[in-house]
Amino acid sequence: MNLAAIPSYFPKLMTAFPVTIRITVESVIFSLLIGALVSVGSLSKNKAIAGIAKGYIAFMRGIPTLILIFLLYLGLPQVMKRIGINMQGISTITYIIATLSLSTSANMAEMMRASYLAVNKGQLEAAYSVGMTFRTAFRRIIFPQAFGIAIPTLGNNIIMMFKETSLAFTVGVIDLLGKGRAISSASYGSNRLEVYIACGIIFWLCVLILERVTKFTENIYTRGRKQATAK
Amino acid sequence: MAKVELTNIHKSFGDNHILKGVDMSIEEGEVVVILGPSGSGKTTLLRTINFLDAADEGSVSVSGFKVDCKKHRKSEIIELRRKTAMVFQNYNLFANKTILENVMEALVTVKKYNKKDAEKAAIEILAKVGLGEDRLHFYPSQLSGGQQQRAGIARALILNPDVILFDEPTSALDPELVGEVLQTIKAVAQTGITMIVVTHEIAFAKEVASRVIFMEGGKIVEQGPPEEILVHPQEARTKEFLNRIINTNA
Repeated sequence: MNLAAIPSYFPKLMTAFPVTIRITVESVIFSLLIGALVSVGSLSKNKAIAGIAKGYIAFMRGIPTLILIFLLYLGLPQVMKRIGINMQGISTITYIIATLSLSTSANMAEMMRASYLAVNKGQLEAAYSVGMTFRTAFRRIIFPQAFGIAIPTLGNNIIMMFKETSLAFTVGVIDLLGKGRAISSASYGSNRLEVYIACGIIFWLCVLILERVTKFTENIYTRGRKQATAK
Repeated sequence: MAKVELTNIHKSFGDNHILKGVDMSIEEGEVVVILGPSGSGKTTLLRTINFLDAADEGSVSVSGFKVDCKKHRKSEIIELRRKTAMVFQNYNLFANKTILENVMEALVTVKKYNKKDAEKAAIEILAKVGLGEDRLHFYPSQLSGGQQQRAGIARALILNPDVILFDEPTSALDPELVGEVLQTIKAVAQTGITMIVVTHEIAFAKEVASRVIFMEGGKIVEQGPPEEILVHPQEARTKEFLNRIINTNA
Protein backbone atom coordinates (compact mmCIF):
# COMPACT_ATOMS: atom_id res chain seq x y z
CA MET A 1 0.00 0.00 0.00
CA ASN A 2 1.27 3.41 -0.97
CA LEU A 3 -0.15 5.89 1.54
CA ALA A 4 1.87 8.75 0.12
CA ALA A 5 -0.04 8.47 -3.15
CA ILE A 6 -3.44 9.08 -1.56
CA PRO A 7 -3.42 12.91 -1.79
CA SER A 8 -2.63 12.70 -5.49
CA TYR A 9 -6.09 11.27 -6.16
CA PHE A 10 -7.98 14.16 -4.58
CA PRO A 11 -7.99 16.53 -7.59
CA LYS A 12 -9.35 13.90 -9.96
CA LEU A 13 -11.92 12.65 -7.47
CA MET A 14 -13.11 16.17 -6.79
CA THR A 15 -14.15 16.59 -10.43
CA ALA A 16 -17.02 14.23 -9.57
CA PHE A 17 -17.83 16.02 -6.34
CA PRO A 18 -20.50 18.28 -7.91
CA VAL A 19 -22.47 15.15 -8.86
CA THR A 20 -22.46 13.94 -5.24
CA ILE A 21 -23.53 17.39 -4.08
CA ARG A 22 -26.30 17.56 -6.66
CA ILE A 23 -27.65 14.17 -5.59
CA THR A 24 -27.54 15.23 -1.94
CA VAL A 25 -29.16 18.63 -2.39
CA GLU A 26 -31.95 17.43 -4.67
CA SER A 27 -32.66 14.38 -2.50
CA VAL A 28 -32.82 16.54 0.64
CA ILE A 29 -35.33 18.87 -1.01
CA PHE A 30 -37.54 16.08 -2.32
CA SER A 31 -37.33 14.02 0.86
CA LEU A 32 -38.44 17.06 2.85
CA LEU A 33 -41.38 17.66 0.52
CA ILE A 34 -42.48 14.01 0.57
CA GLY A 35 -41.75 13.79 4.30
CA ALA A 36 -43.94 16.83 5.01
CA LEU A 37 -46.81 15.25 3.11
CA VAL A 38 -46.37 11.90 4.87
CA SER A 39 -46.08 13.48 8.33
CA VAL A 40 -49.32 15.40 7.76
CA GLY A 41 -50.87 12.08 6.75
CA SER A 42 -49.53 10.25 9.78
CA LEU A 43 -51.00 12.93 12.05
CA SER A 44 -54.38 12.83 10.31
CA LYS A 45 -57.49 11.99 12.28
CA ASN A 46 -58.66 9.98 9.29
CA LYS A 47 -57.57 6.45 10.18
CA ALA A 48 -57.21 5.30 6.57
CA ILE A 49 -54.90 8.18 5.69
CA ALA A 50 -52.88 7.77 8.89
CA GLY A 51 -52.61 4.02 8.19
CA ILE A 52 -51.31 4.57 4.67
CA ALA A 53 -48.76 7.11 5.91
CA LYS A 54 -47.57 4.80 8.69
CA GLY A 55 -47.37 1.86 6.29
CA TYR A 56 -45.29 3.95 3.92
CA ILE A 57 -42.92 4.91 6.74
CA ALA A 58 -42.61 1.30 7.90
CA PHE A 59 -41.86 0.10 4.37
CA MET A 60 -39.31 2.79 3.53
CA ARG A 61 -37.50 2.40 6.82
CA GLY A 62 -37.41 -1.36 6.58
CA ILE A 63 -36.02 -1.73 3.10
CA PRO A 64 -32.25 -1.48 2.53
CA THR A 65 -31.43 1.47 0.29
CA LEU A 66 -29.45 -0.65 -2.13
CA ILE A 67 -32.43 -2.95 -2.68
CA LEU A 68 -34.68 0.05 -3.22
CA ILE A 69 -32.24 1.32 -5.85
CA PHE A 70 -32.46 -2.00 -7.70
CA LEU A 71 -36.23 -2.12 -7.34
CA LEU A 72 -36.58 1.28 -8.96
CA TYR A 73 -33.77 0.97 -11.47
CA LEU A 74 -34.46 -2.57 -12.64
CA GLY A 75 -38.07 -3.16 -11.63
CA LEU A 76 -39.89 0.07 -12.34
CA PRO A 77 -39.07 0.25 -16.11
CA GLN A 78 -40.45 -3.27 -16.53
CA VAL A 79 -43.65 -2.47 -14.71
CA MET A 80 -44.07 0.75 -16.64
CA LYS A 81 -43.42 -1.02 -19.93
CA ARG A 82 -46.39 -3.30 -19.25
CA ILE A 83 -48.66 -0.29 -19.08
CA GLY A 84 -47.08 1.22 -22.16
CA ILE A 85 -44.70 3.80 -20.68
CA ASN A 86 -41.13 3.81 -21.90
CA MET A 87 -38.64 4.86 -19.22
CA GLN A 88 -35.47 4.53 -21.28
CA GLY A 89 -34.89 8.28 -21.46
CA ILE A 90 -34.55 8.61 -17.71
CA SER A 91 -31.00 9.09 -16.46
CA THR A 92 -29.46 6.89 -13.78
CA ILE A 93 -28.88 9.91 -11.55
CA THR A 94 -32.65 10.49 -11.53
CA TYR A 95 -33.18 6.96 -10.20
CA ILE A 96 -30.67 7.60 -7.44
CA ILE A 97 -32.27 10.90 -6.46
CA ALA A 98 -35.71 9.25 -6.48
CA THR A 99 -34.49 6.37 -4.32
CA LEU A 100 -32.74 8.53 -1.74
CA SER A 101 -35.70 10.92 -1.63
CA LEU A 102 -38.09 8.07 -0.95
CA SER A 103 -36.00 6.25 1.61
CA THR A 104 -35.03 9.40 3.51
CA SER A 105 -38.55 10.84 3.33
CA ALA A 106 -39.62 8.28 5.95
CA ASN A 107 -37.02 9.58 8.41
CA MET A 108 -37.94 13.16 7.55
CA ALA A 109 -41.63 12.40 8.14
CA GLU A 110 -40.91 10.86 11.54
CA MET A 111 -38.70 13.80 12.42
CA MET A 112 -41.45 16.27 11.54
CA ARG A 113 -44.14 14.32 13.34
CA ALA A 114 -42.10 14.01 16.52
CA SER A 115 -41.08 17.68 16.46
CA TYR A 116 -44.66 18.80 15.93
CA LEU A 117 -45.89 16.65 18.81
CA ALA A 118 -43.08 17.90 21.04
CA VAL A 119 -44.56 21.40 21.05
CA ASN A 120 -47.06 21.32 23.85
CA LYS A 121 -50.64 21.27 22.65
CA GLY A 122 -51.68 23.93 25.15
CA GLN A 123 -49.92 26.57 23.06
CA LEU A 124 -52.09 25.69 20.07
CA GLU A 125 -55.17 25.97 22.28
CA ALA A 126 -53.95 29.33 23.55
CA ALA A 127 -53.48 30.48 19.96
CA TYR A 128 -57.01 29.35 19.14
CA SER A 129 -58.35 31.07 22.24
CA VAL A 130 -57.10 34.45 21.03
CA GLY A 131 -58.73 33.90 17.65
CA MET A 132 -55.89 32.61 15.50
CA THR A 133 -56.51 30.20 12.66
CA PHE A 134 -54.53 26.94 12.58
CA ARG A 135 -52.47 28.35 9.73
CA THR A 136 -51.43 31.44 11.70
CA ALA A 137 -50.81 29.44 14.86
CA PHE A 138 -48.67 26.96 12.95
CA ARG A 139 -46.64 29.64 11.22
CA ARG A 140 -46.10 31.89 14.24
CA ILE A 141 -46.07 29.52 17.22
CA ILE A 142 -45.77 25.83 16.39
CA PHE A 143 -43.38 25.73 13.44
CA PRO A 144 -40.66 27.98 14.92
CA GLN A 145 -40.48 25.74 17.99
CA ALA A 146 -40.78 22.46 16.09
CA PHE A 147 -38.01 23.57 13.73
CA GLY A 148 -35.63 24.23 16.61
CA ILE A 149 -36.39 20.77 17.97
CA ALA A 150 -35.87 19.18 14.56
CA ILE A 151 -32.47 20.70 13.71
CA PRO A 152 -30.24 17.99 15.24
CA THR A 153 -32.29 15.20 13.66
CA LEU A 154 -32.41 17.04 10.35
CA GLY A 155 -28.63 17.32 10.36
CA ASN A 156 -28.33 13.64 11.16
CA ASN A 157 -30.73 12.66 8.37
CA ILE A 158 -28.82 14.75 5.85
CA ILE A 159 -25.50 13.23 6.94
CA MET A 160 -26.87 9.69 6.61
CA MET A 161 -28.27 10.45 3.20
CA PHE A 162 -25.04 12.11 2.10
CA LYS A 163 -23.17 8.91 2.89
CA GLU A 164 -25.75 6.83 1.05
CA THR A 165 -25.10 8.79 -2.14
CA SER A 166 -22.06 6.54 -2.39
CA LEU A 167 -24.45 3.78 -3.52
CA ALA A 168 -24.97 5.67 -6.78
CA PHE A 169 -21.99 3.99 -8.43
CA THR A 170 -23.84 0.65 -8.35
CA VAL A 171 -25.98 1.77 -11.28
CA GLY A 172 -23.15 3.53 -13.05
CA VAL A 173 -23.42 7.12 -11.87
CA ILE A 174 -20.05 8.85 -11.86
CA ASP A 175 -20.22 10.36 -8.40
CA LEU A 176 -17.25 10.44 -6.00
CA LEU A 177 -17.15 6.69 -5.65
CA GLY A 178 -17.96 6.09 -9.30
CA LYS A 179 -15.02 8.31 -10.19
CA GLY A 180 -12.84 6.40 -7.74
CA ARG A 181 -13.74 3.15 -9.40
CA ALA A 182 -12.95 4.61 -12.81
CA ILE A 183 -9.54 5.82 -11.61
CA SER A 184 -8.63 2.49 -10.13
CA SER A 185 -9.75 0.45 -13.12
CA ALA A 186 -7.64 2.68 -15.37
CA SER A 187 -4.64 1.23 -13.59
CA TYR A 188 -6.12 -2.25 -13.46
CA GLY A 189 -7.08 -2.01 -9.80
CA SER A 190 -3.52 -1.84 -8.54
CA ASN A 191 -4.26 1.34 -6.54
CA ARG A 192 -7.79 0.41 -5.55
CA LEU A 193 -7.31 0.62 -1.80
CA GLU A 194 -5.55 4.02 -1.95
CA VAL A 195 -8.32 5.48 -4.14
CA TYR A 196 -11.07 4.28 -1.84
CA ILE A 197 -9.22 5.63 1.18
CA ALA A 198 -9.05 8.99 -0.59
CA CYS A 199 -12.82 8.78 -1.23
CA GLY A 200 -13.42 7.93 2.40
CA ILE A 201 -11.39 10.93 3.56
CA ILE A 202 -13.44 13.27 1.38
CA PHE A 203 -16.71 11.85 2.76
CA TRP A 204 -15.41 12.05 6.29
CA LEU A 205 -14.33 15.69 5.95
CA CYS A 206 -17.71 16.59 4.45
CA VAL A 207 -19.54 14.92 7.33
CA LEU A 208 -17.37 16.85 9.80
CA ILE A 209 -18.41 20.07 8.07
CA LEU A 210 -22.08 19.05 8.06
CA GLU A 211 -21.91 18.29 11.78
CA ARG A 212 -20.41 21.71 12.44
CA VAL A 213 -23.06 23.41 10.31
CA THR A 214 -25.81 21.57 12.22
CA LYS A 215 -24.43 22.58 15.58
CA PHE A 216 -23.92 26.15 14.41
CA THR A 217 -27.47 26.39 13.05
CA GLU A 218 -28.87 24.98 16.25
CA ASN A 219 -26.93 27.50 18.34
CA ILE A 220 -27.97 30.43 16.17
CA TYR A 221 -31.56 29.32 16.08
CA THR A 222 -32.03 28.64 19.75
CA ARG A 223 -29.96 31.60 20.91
CA GLY A 224 -32.00 33.88 23.10
CA ARG A 225 -35.07 31.77 22.81
CA LYS A 226 -34.62 30.01 26.08
CA GLN A 227 -31.64 31.81 27.56
CA ALA A 228 -31.71 35.07 29.42
CA THR A 229 -32.24 38.05 27.17
CA ALA A 230 -33.08 40.79 29.61
CA LYS A 231 -32.23 43.96 27.74
CA MET B 1 -79.57 40.51 26.18
CA ALA B 2 -77.43 37.94 27.86
CA LYS B 3 -73.70 38.25 27.22
CA VAL B 4 -73.17 34.49 27.22
CA GLU B 5 -75.95 32.03 26.64
CA LEU B 6 -75.54 28.27 26.69
CA THR B 7 -78.49 26.08 25.79
CA ASN B 8 -78.77 22.36 26.43
CA ILE B 9 -75.03 21.62 26.18
CA HIS B 10 -74.18 17.93 25.89
CA LYS B 11 -70.68 16.58 25.56
CA SER B 12 -69.24 13.07 25.60
CA PHE B 13 -65.70 11.79 25.31
CA GLY B 14 -66.20 8.31 23.93
CA ASP B 15 -68.62 6.56 26.29
CA ASN B 16 -68.04 9.11 28.98
CA HIS B 17 -71.00 11.48 29.10
CA ILE B 18 -69.43 14.60 30.68
CA LEU B 19 -72.05 17.30 30.18
CA LYS B 20 -75.70 16.32 30.39
CA GLY B 21 -77.70 19.28 29.24
CA VAL B 22 -76.36 22.48 30.75
CA ASP B 23 -78.19 25.79 30.38
CA MET B 24 -76.51 28.98 31.47
CA SER B 25 -77.24 32.63 30.92
CA ILE B 26 -74.77 35.29 31.95
CA GLU B 27 -75.41 39.03 31.89
CA GLU B 28 -72.91 41.72 31.04
CA GLY B 29 -70.51 42.48 33.91
CA GLU B 30 -71.26 39.34 35.87
CA VAL B 31 -68.44 37.44 37.54
CA VAL B 32 -69.56 33.85 37.59
CA VAL B 33 -67.57 31.30 39.58
CA ILE B 34 -68.14 27.65 38.76
CA LEU B 35 -67.42 25.21 41.58
CA GLY B 36 -67.66 21.47 41.69
CA PRO B 37 -65.75 18.27 42.39
CA SER B 38 -63.24 17.06 39.82
CA GLY B 39 -64.94 15.23 37.00
CA SER B 40 -68.07 17.32 37.34
CA GLY B 41 -67.53 18.82 33.89
CA LYS B 42 -66.81 22.41 34.86
CA THR B 43 -63.62 22.76 32.82
CA THR B 44 -65.23 21.01 29.88
CA LEU B 45 -68.17 23.39 30.09
CA LEU B 46 -65.80 26.33 29.96
CA ARG B 47 -64.03 24.84 26.96
CA THR B 48 -67.26 24.34 25.04
CA ILE B 49 -67.85 28.10 25.18
CA ASN B 50 -64.89 28.84 22.90
CA PHE B 51 -65.07 25.47 21.14
CA LEU B 52 -61.71 24.17 22.35
CA ASP B 53 -64.00 21.21 22.98
CA ALA B 54 -66.97 21.40 20.64
CA ALA B 55 -70.17 20.28 22.36
CA ASP B 56 -72.11 17.48 20.71
CA GLU B 57 -75.44 19.17 21.15
CA GLY B 58 -76.85 22.55 22.13
CA SER B 59 -75.88 26.08 21.24
CA VAL B 60 -73.44 28.73 22.40
CA SER B 61 -74.09 32.41 22.05
CA VAL B 62 -71.75 35.26 22.92
CA SER B 63 -72.95 38.86 22.56
CA GLY B 64 -75.81 37.67 20.40
CA PHE B 65 -73.60 35.67 18.02
CA LYS B 66 -75.08 32.19 18.17
CA VAL B 67 -73.41 28.98 17.06
CA ASP B 68 -75.17 25.65 16.83
CA CYS B 69 -72.86 23.01 18.29
CA LYS B 70 -74.07 20.25 15.99
CA LYS B 71 -73.39 22.04 12.73
CA HIS B 72 -70.87 24.80 12.91
CA ARG B 73 -68.54 26.22 10.34
CA LYS B 74 -64.87 26.96 11.01
CA SER B 75 -65.44 30.64 10.32
CA GLU B 76 -68.18 30.75 12.98
CA ILE B 77 -65.87 29.22 15.57
CA ILE B 78 -63.17 31.73 14.79
CA GLU B 79 -65.61 34.61 15.09
CA LEU B 80 -66.86 33.24 18.41
CA ARG B 81 -63.31 32.85 19.69
CA ARG B 82 -62.58 36.46 18.77
CA LYS B 83 -65.29 37.56 21.17
CA THR B 84 -63.80 35.55 24.02
CA ALA B 85 -60.41 35.04 25.65
CA MET B 86 -59.13 32.36 27.97
CA VAL B 87 -56.68 32.06 30.85
CA PHE B 88 -55.32 28.55 31.22
CA GLN B 89 -54.38 26.42 34.18
CA ASN B 90 -50.89 25.85 32.77
CA TYR B 91 -50.59 29.42 31.42
CA ASN B 92 -49.86 28.11 27.90
CA LEU B 93 -47.72 31.08 26.99
CA PHE B 94 -45.98 30.92 23.63
CA ALA B 95 -42.55 29.56 24.56
CA ASN B 96 -40.81 31.03 21.51
CA LYS B 97 -41.91 34.56 22.31
CA THR B 98 -41.06 37.05 25.03
CA ILE B 99 -43.70 38.21 27.48
CA LEU B 100 -44.18 41.38 25.45
CA GLU B 101 -44.49 39.41 22.21
CA ASN B 102 -46.93 36.99 23.83
CA VAL B 103 -49.25 39.82 24.69
CA MET B 104 -48.81 41.60 21.34
CA GLU B 105 -49.19 38.49 19.22
CA ALA B 106 -52.95 38.42 18.73
CA LEU B 107 -53.19 42.18 18.29
CA VAL B 108 -50.78 41.92 15.37
CA THR B 109 -51.92 38.68 13.76
CA VAL B 110 -55.63 38.72 14.54
CA LYS B 111 -56.57 42.36 14.98
CA LYS B 112 -54.02 43.61 12.43
CA TYR B 113 -52.60 46.40 14.58
CA ASN B 114 -49.29 47.79 13.46
CA LYS B 115 -46.42 46.70 15.67
CA LYS B 116 -45.83 50.03 17.36
CA ASP B 117 -49.42 50.43 18.53
CA ALA B 118 -49.57 46.81 19.63
CA GLU B 119 -46.36 47.20 21.61
CA LYS B 120 -47.64 50.33 23.32
CA ALA B 121 -50.91 48.66 24.26
CA ALA B 122 -49.11 45.54 25.49
CA ILE B 123 -46.73 47.50 27.71
CA GLU B 124 -49.69 49.33 29.21
CA ILE B 125 -51.63 46.13 29.94
CA LEU B 126 -48.58 44.37 31.34
CA ALA B 127 -48.02 47.23 33.75
CA LYS B 128 -51.60 46.79 34.92
CA VAL B 129 -50.97 43.15 35.86
CA GLY B 130 -47.76 44.15 37.62
CA LEU B 131 -45.19 43.17 35.00
CA GLY B 132 -42.94 46.17 34.55
CA GLU B 133 -40.41 47.17 31.89
CA ASP B 134 -37.75 44.96 33.44
CA ARG B 135 -39.71 41.82 32.60
CA LEU B 136 -40.89 42.61 29.06
CA HIS B 137 -38.11 40.81 27.23
CA PHE B 138 -38.05 37.69 29.36
CA TYR B 139 -39.17 34.38 27.92
CA PRO B 140 -41.93 32.54 29.79
CA SER B 141 -39.51 29.87 31.05
CA GLN B 142 -37.53 32.57 32.85
CA LEU B 143 -40.46 33.72 34.95
CA SER B 144 -42.20 32.36 38.01
CA GLY B 145 -45.57 30.68 37.64
CA GLY B 146 -47.30 33.71 39.10
CA GLN B 147 -45.62 36.06 36.64
CA GLN B 148 -46.44 33.72 33.76
CA GLN B 149 -50.07 33.57 34.76
CA ARG B 150 -50.27 37.34 35.05
CA ALA B 151 -48.83 37.57 31.54
CA GLY B 152 -51.50 35.06 30.50
CA ILE B 153 -54.14 37.35 31.94
CA ALA B 154 -52.62 40.31 30.09
CA ARG B 155 -52.71 38.30 26.84
CA ALA B 156 -56.43 37.74 27.36
CA LEU B 157 -57.20 41.31 28.48
CA ILE B 158 -55.54 43.06 25.59
CA LEU B 159 -58.11 41.69 23.16
CA ASN B 160 -60.83 43.52 25.01
CA PRO B 161 -63.02 40.42 24.84
CA ASP B 162 -66.71 40.30 25.64
CA VAL B 163 -66.02 37.57 28.17
CA ILE B 164 -62.87 36.10 29.73
CA LEU B 165 -62.84 32.41 30.61
CA PHE B 166 -60.58 31.41 33.52
CA ASP B 167 -59.79 27.70 33.67
CA GLU B 168 -58.49 26.97 37.19
CA PRO B 169 -56.03 29.86 36.92
CA THR B 170 -54.30 29.17 40.24
CA SER B 171 -54.33 25.37 40.39
CA ALA B 172 -50.83 24.91 38.97
CA LEU B 173 -49.23 27.59 41.12
CA ASP B 174 -47.07 27.24 44.19
CA PRO B 175 -49.18 28.17 47.21
CA GLU B 176 -47.25 31.37 47.92
CA LEU B 177 -47.91 32.61 44.37
CA VAL B 178 -51.68 32.08 44.41
CA GLY B 179 -52.35 35.37 46.18
CA GLU B 180 -50.75 37.64 43.59
CA VAL B 181 -52.68 36.00 40.76
CA LEU B 182 -55.99 36.15 42.62
CA GLN B 183 -55.31 39.83 43.32
CA THR B 184 -54.81 40.41 39.60
CA ILE B 185 -58.02 38.56 38.72
CA LYS B 186 -59.87 40.55 41.33
CA ALA B 187 -58.61 43.79 39.81
CA VAL B 188 -59.80 42.60 36.40
CA ALA B 189 -63.22 41.79 37.84
CA GLN B 190 -63.51 45.32 39.18
CA THR B 191 -63.20 46.75 35.66
CA GLY B 192 -66.65 45.37 34.95
CA ILE B 193 -65.67 42.85 32.30
CA THR B 194 -67.78 39.70 32.11
CA MET B 195 -65.92 36.72 33.56
CA ILE B 196 -66.48 33.01 34.05
CA VAL B 197 -64.05 31.46 36.51
CA VAL B 198 -63.58 27.77 37.22
CA THR B 199 -61.71 27.50 40.51
CA HIS B 200 -61.38 25.74 43.85
CA GLU B 201 -60.72 28.98 45.74
CA ILE B 202 -63.82 29.32 47.89
CA ALA B 203 -62.64 32.47 49.62
CA PHE B 204 -62.02 34.09 46.27
CA ALA B 205 -65.49 33.09 45.09
CA LYS B 206 -67.04 34.59 48.20
CA GLU B 207 -65.26 37.88 47.71
CA VAL B 208 -65.35 38.40 43.95
CA ALA B 209 -68.20 36.40 42.45
CA SER B 210 -71.54 37.96 41.63
CA ARG B 211 -72.92 34.47 41.15
CA VAL B 212 -71.73 30.99 42.10
CA ILE B 213 -72.68 27.91 40.11
CA PHE B 214 -72.25 24.50 41.68
CA MET B 215 -71.89 21.63 39.21
CA GLU B 216 -71.83 17.92 39.72
CA GLY B 217 -72.20 14.96 37.36
CA GLY B 218 -72.38 17.13 34.26
CA LYS B 219 -75.27 19.25 35.47
CA ILE B 220 -75.80 22.48 37.33
CA VAL B 221 -76.98 21.52 40.81
CA GLU B 222 -77.48 24.94 42.30
CA GLN B 223 -76.70 28.58 41.60
CA GLY B 224 -77.10 31.97 43.19
CA PRO B 225 -75.27 34.78 44.96
CA PRO B 226 -72.13 33.60 46.80
CA GLU B 227 -73.48 34.28 50.29
CA GLU B 228 -76.44 32.03 49.49
CA ILE B 229 -74.61 29.14 47.83
CA LEU B 230 -71.49 29.17 49.94
CA VAL B 231 -73.06 29.91 53.31
CA HIS B 232 -76.57 28.50 53.08
CA PRO B 233 -76.63 25.95 50.29
CA GLN B 234 -79.99 24.29 49.70
CA GLU B 235 -78.83 21.10 48.02
CA ALA B 236 -77.32 18.25 50.01
CA ARG B 237 -74.63 17.69 47.39
CA THR B 238 -73.49 21.30 47.58
CA LYS B 239 -73.28 21.09 51.38
CA GLU B 240 -71.29 17.91 51.21
CA PHE B 241 -68.85 19.39 48.69
CA LEU B 242 -68.33 22.56 50.71
CA ASN B 243 -67.79 20.59 53.91
CA ARG B 244 -65.18 18.47 52.23
CA ILE B 245 -63.33 21.50 50.85
CA ILE B 246 -63.47 23.49 54.04
CA ASN B 247 -62.35 20.55 56.16
CA THR B 248 -59.36 19.80 53.95
CA ASN B 249 -58.40 23.46 53.79
CA ALA B 250 -58.59 23.95 57.54
